[in-house]
Amino acid sequence: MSLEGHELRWMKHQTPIVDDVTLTVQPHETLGLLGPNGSGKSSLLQLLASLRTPDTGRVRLGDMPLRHQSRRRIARRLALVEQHATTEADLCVEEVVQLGRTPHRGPLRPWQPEDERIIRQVLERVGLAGMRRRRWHTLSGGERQRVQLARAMAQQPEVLLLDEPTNHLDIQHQLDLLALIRRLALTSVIALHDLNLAAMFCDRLIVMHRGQLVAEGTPATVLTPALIHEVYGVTAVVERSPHHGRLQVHYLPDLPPA
Amino acid sequence: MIEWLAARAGWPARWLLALLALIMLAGVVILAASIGEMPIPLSVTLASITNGLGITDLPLDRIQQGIVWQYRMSRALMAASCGAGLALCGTILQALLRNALAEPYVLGISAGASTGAVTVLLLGLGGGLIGMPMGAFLGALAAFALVILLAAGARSSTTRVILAGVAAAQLFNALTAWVVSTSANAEQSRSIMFWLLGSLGGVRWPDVGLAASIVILGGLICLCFARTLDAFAFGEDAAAALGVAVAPVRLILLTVTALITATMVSIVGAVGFVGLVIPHAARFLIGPGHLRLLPASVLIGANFMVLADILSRIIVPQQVLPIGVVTALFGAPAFALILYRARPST
Ligand SMILES: Nc1ncnc2c1ncn2[C@@H]1O[C@H](COP(=O)(O)OP(=O)(O)OP(=O)(O)O)[C@@H](O)[C@H]1O
Ligand SMILES: [Mg+2]
Repeated sequence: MSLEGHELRWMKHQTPIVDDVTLTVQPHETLGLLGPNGSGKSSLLQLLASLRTPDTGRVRLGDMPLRHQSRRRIARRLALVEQHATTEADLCVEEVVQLGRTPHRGPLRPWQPEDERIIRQVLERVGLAGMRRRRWHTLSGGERQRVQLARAMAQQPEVLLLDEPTNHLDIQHQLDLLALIRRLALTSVIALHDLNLAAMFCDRLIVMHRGQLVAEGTPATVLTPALIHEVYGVTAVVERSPHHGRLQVHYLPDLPPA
Repeated sequence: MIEWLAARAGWPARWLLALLALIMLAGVVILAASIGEMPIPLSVTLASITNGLGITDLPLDRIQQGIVWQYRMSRALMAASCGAGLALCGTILQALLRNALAEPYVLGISAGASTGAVTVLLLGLGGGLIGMPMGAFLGALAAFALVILLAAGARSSTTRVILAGVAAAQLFNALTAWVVSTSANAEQSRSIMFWLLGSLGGVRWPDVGLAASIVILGGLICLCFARTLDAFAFGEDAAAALGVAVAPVRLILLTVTALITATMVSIVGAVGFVGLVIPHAARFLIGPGHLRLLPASVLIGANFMVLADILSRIIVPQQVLPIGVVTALFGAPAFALILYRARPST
């Protein structure tokens, strides 16, 4: 299922936070969303998830315009993993993941074997099968992130929006998680800060800067030293890695002598 | 032991616990009807109740039967309804506002009701058309609206809701004190004081009918939203992303809560801590899932309040304490415990 945003603009206090962004994510494509802090990545994802109403522009999910769609219909097709998930409730891992079944269950429909099967499967896939009864508050940041991904997967969405899902993860789990998202073969948009991981796992990249979309294309066309300097103010060299064949960005700050 | 049962066992044990809580409720209500200034033997109490229900027609002392049925039964059932209603409201507010301290009393609703009641009583506002309960009812609704408006800007800031409530409570308490100190004579002040602390005296059957039906109806509505309330665990955005129509759900549930609170406060007065402490106790026993938590809160709240009423009548011989004093005596330490144990929000 494709996801389209057309001329999206979202204002807050007379300043555009997302400014005239148009993008299309093809079915089964993994799109990397790059940009410095405060550039509007999370805001764009919220617009795409229809959690905020754009001042102008529209979002389409497949052939369904999202405006005036019931939240429940959207949630059955599109799942979001937020940047910071916090709760006061004393939930265990299993209970958090079960929340993902909410859009599929009526108010009084009891828990079905099918739901149980899905929960077990997604916990397995994010490597948390042994932690079902652990309390959310006792989990590490990385474990929480994986629980949230499992919750999103339990929604059985066709489109997955992830806001910095590799935050807090150690390098092994970053690689595992991104590889898992690729294997799911959903239509996904991933906000990322690590340019190298983006180059490694995304089909296409878009770059936000001060609310605007400033670059779009394959990693090779987007990740140029000029763009990195313009957007991040960092000098960098980009080359194709002889080891994995993907682009590799080397940052060249003023280093202390080695 | 109960905690062990509740946490470990499957659904048969949970139904068993619910049944036990119901039986216990019946027990404490009967106890409440037999204890009092004039102690009435349990057998006579039971017979009076079955007579009152129209099941039996046993020959009994008219006075004893009257006391049990007209005064004590209505009082006990009002206590049960009030405890159940306030606990239900606390559970809903804590889930919706995502704050462990949210409840009608802390949010200043009860203070608003007091202001409304006192204003009608002493200033004769409404020209005698609306009585004191109606004044309390309107005051509660006004306070509720004020707190929700004050807090509305705070999308995700859960502490602001509580701060708004504290501010509202201060404001209304000041207004109440103003009205009372400028217009009441000593006799009136005393009876108002008593009412402000919560009083089950003077409750009659029609009050019980109203309170019980509002609690049952409100409880059923809330139960339909149990899963939806679970989805609020990670905030309103997360709930929306899970398919919850946040704005209508919030409106419905806040309205139900406001109506229940306003009804209870207008009949019984401002009873604190029940709405705060009971949901936490229920969560401790049964876990955070609202499908179980809501009925558990209702049952525990009802039991607690009837017991508190019994205590209020026997702690000091020949005297009845305001029920709010008793609930606060137990509630305040529990409140401190919650604050102490509350996890730093992460
Ligand atoms: N509700 C809001 N009200 C006012 N300003 C907002 C609001 N939401 C976001 N902003 C502002 O919009 C800008 C973009 O925020 P956003 O969270 O989308 O950035 P981001 O790209 O996700 O940043 P990060 O990499 O730090 O997560 C920021 O300057 C932020 O302060
Ligand atoms: Mg962000």
